[in-house]
Amino acid sequence: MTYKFKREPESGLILINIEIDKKYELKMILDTGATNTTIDSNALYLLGYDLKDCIGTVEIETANGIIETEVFEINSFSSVGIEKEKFEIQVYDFIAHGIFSDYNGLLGLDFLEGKKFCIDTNENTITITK
Amino acid sequence: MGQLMNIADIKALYPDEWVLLGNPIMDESEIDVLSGIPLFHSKDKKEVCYIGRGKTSNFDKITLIYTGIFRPKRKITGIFNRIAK
Repeated sequence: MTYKFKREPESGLILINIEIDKKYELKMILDTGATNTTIDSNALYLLGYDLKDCIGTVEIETANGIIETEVFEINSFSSVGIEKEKFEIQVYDFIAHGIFSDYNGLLGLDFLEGKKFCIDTNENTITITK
Repeated sequence: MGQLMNIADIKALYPDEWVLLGNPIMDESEIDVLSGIPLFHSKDKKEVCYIGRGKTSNFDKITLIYTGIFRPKRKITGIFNRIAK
């Protein structure tokens, strides 16, 4: 299946819609250079998750160096026709770290793991074939 | 429950703000909002997320939008890579 995406006008980043728990629709960046999916902690709180729901911590490499961050398990996480249950995402406070943008996280390679996909930057589409 | 508004009216009423919307209707790309019911709005995203959380229970779908335009002052490069132990 082929899905349209949009590009952020200023940066050219790939904007994609994700749905969490079949209720919350959020704008994220598709980042195949990121190993794991990351969500803004403020958006995560909006979705109804609390600190007590954290299932562990990991170290991640950011523009500001290496930091430790929490990991949460999302009941249902879907985008571009792929739905993952009990999907683990790492959480980062975008606002506290000076990231001001209208997207709420990064969709990383872990979401596309096991899929064959092709990103067409001419047509602004992503095709998932498996 | 609030009133369904189109995106042009939402932007005019709440310029350069974060707006929490109930039952949004999205465009065909499912990225941009065409209309929705404003539930809470503020210049501060954190405020919208923390106060708005309690206003979502009566809605099947929820989304969060910013009505202005962010102009990044720096290039964004690959970040957030998990460090294998």
